[in-house]
Amino acid sequence: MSEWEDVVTTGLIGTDRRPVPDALPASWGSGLDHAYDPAHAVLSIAARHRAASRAGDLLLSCPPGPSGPPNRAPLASRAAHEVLARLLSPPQVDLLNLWLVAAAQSGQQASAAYWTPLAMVAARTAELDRSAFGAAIGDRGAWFIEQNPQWARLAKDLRSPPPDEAAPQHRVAAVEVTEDAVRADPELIMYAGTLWSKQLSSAVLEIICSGQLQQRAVRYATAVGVQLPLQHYELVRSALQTPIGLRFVREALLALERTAWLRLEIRSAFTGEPISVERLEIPQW
Amino acid sequence: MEIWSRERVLALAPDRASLLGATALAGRRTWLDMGTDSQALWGSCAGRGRLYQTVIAFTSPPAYACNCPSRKIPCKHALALLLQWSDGLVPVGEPPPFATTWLARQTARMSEPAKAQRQPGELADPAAALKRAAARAERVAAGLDELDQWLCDQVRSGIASLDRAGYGHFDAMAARMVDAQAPGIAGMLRSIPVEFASVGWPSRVLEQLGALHLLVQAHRRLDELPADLAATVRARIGYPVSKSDVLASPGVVDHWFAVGMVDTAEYRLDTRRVWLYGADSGRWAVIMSFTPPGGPRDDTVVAGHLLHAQLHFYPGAGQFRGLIGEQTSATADATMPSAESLPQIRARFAQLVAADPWAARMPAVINAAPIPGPGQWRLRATSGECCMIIDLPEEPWPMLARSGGEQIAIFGEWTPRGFRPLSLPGGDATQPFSTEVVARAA
Repeated sequence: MSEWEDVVTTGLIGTDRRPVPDALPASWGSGLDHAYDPAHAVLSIAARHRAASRAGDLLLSCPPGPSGPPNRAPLASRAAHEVLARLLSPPQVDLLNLWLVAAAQSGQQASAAYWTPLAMVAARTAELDRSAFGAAIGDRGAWFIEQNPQWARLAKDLRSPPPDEAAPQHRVAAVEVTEDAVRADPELIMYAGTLWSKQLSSAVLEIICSGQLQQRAVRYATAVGVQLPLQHYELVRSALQTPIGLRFVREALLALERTAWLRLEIRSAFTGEPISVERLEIPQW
Repeated sequence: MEIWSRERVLALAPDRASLLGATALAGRRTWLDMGTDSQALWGSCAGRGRLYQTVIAFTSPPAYACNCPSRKIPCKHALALLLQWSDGLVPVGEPPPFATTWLARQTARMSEPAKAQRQPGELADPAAALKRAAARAERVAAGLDELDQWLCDQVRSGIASLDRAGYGHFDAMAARMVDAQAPGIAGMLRSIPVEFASVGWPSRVLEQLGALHLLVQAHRRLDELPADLAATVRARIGYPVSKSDVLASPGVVDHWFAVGMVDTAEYRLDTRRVWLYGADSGRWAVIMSFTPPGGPRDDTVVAGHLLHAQLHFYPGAGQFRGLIGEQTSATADATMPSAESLPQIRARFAQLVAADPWAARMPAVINAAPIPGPGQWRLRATSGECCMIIDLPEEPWPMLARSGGEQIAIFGEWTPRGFRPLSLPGGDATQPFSTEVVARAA
């Protein structure tokens, strides 16, 4: 039993039942009058031990932890990370996928500061594009994911992405879609690939503005915003300028505009080219 | 008006729910009438069948108004509005009537003639003040005599059963200390029962009782102590020091960078500590603010701010606490404090304990690699020494992401129990400074 443990035992049992240990280091006990009051002596020793241990206890030591492989690809620009920060709060999976795919296509990677929130989203939903995520965080990021047992499944997916969880845009085969077909079944536009004609884009906007989608309008408009050809962004202006009475239609148009604008921002952030169109003003409905 | 960073805005959130609510609102663009000028920011948010009108005045500290039912300040609407402003989504414009009305009231309130100001250190009635001080000293002395008797009683009868006595046993004595006008002692007493939750509590509790005993002894010899140590003893006991007296003391002019910040709930008060580092002086300082639970936090200075100011320190040995005096606009970039090895930090803490035996924490930048472990994370230096990571609400995965298992600079509070990380001063080019040591973004 060390001297301090001896003192603690006295403190636990009480000085009425156990004497203050005699064999104390000189640095603790000098000036203590045990005979005067043992309780005072124990408290004084405790105060001195506290100061001594705070100032002089040996530091712990431990073996090194694992370290990750280096990442060699360049980091995406600051502007791209600002967009990413916005997409993460709150997380918007469709748009995050766009960012990740853009990063993967441009050979750039996400800063380590964003790996944790991205991993948290990816662990929660299979909708986040695993292969683009893996490319955007690199080998070091994949190593990082492996360190957290709660992300074990995600780590496994990153090592070998399941075929059915590939990028959403790979899941659908582009088919030829006509305006009439879209008017008959608005969801068909999601299968039209990305080369929409101007007439097709206008038809989709008309569908949204008509209010026929009711409460599905916002979700639909967001999905349209993800695929709308960016050169058709200006078409949203005329849609916004028409008087709109239904609230969900207004919200759908706002969602569409916002998604399309974010795509413009992402493209600009990764290519360095400025956005050539002005952002549409939101009318005061 | 310089646009605030997103991080600065998020730091204003009174709690996590507000933060999540605000980020969700900011993303939805259901805002109308948004605008800003050099003095204020305003907007209306449609929600739950009504229009919430929010105005933020860029006074010092900022003032918030919103007609939502939340009692939090700032509410999620104000935070969401600030987030959109931070993202550059708020146009410059003229304030609408609801904002004009509130801003006019605010201006009128600000311009109300202040009460007659006394010179720093000047007392309205010196004789009465002396009498009050003497009465207080007597009350404190009587209270501390009672405390010493209580401490000795615990040790005489043995502390083995204290864990079963629980919080009430210590709260009763703490209440007596509040009556005796020794709130610092009351705080120390209330912190003791926390120790019962972990293994080895008898040693730690006995040490804490010893620290209280030492404080009682020091108070009895207050007149014999060096002035600095006497001031420390008075501060630990809870003798008040007026802000005007602190501001009247000589200040340290420097470029102060707010390296980290921590919010804690201590008894019936929320406490915010903002740690500052002086670029030229190399000095550390802490700005402390206290608010009732749920009340508006003092966001005059938050982590990431750089200010050129005169800082006045509270009296006492080993004191970091200060008050911000005269401020001018910063003329230099933020300077990060250099990292220290674990033995260096330990040696500095030993010096602090020598100056202030009751010191509980110290700011430090440590160069170490975070190592995850089941239930307990550690920080390890290349020399092999390590310390525990403590007091984090969640596991610090963002820290491991930054480090990749290698050493990085981490700012935090060094305590005898371990290290509490607060920020990561050296990041990459996209985020050179981050307070996100635990994951909260998602």
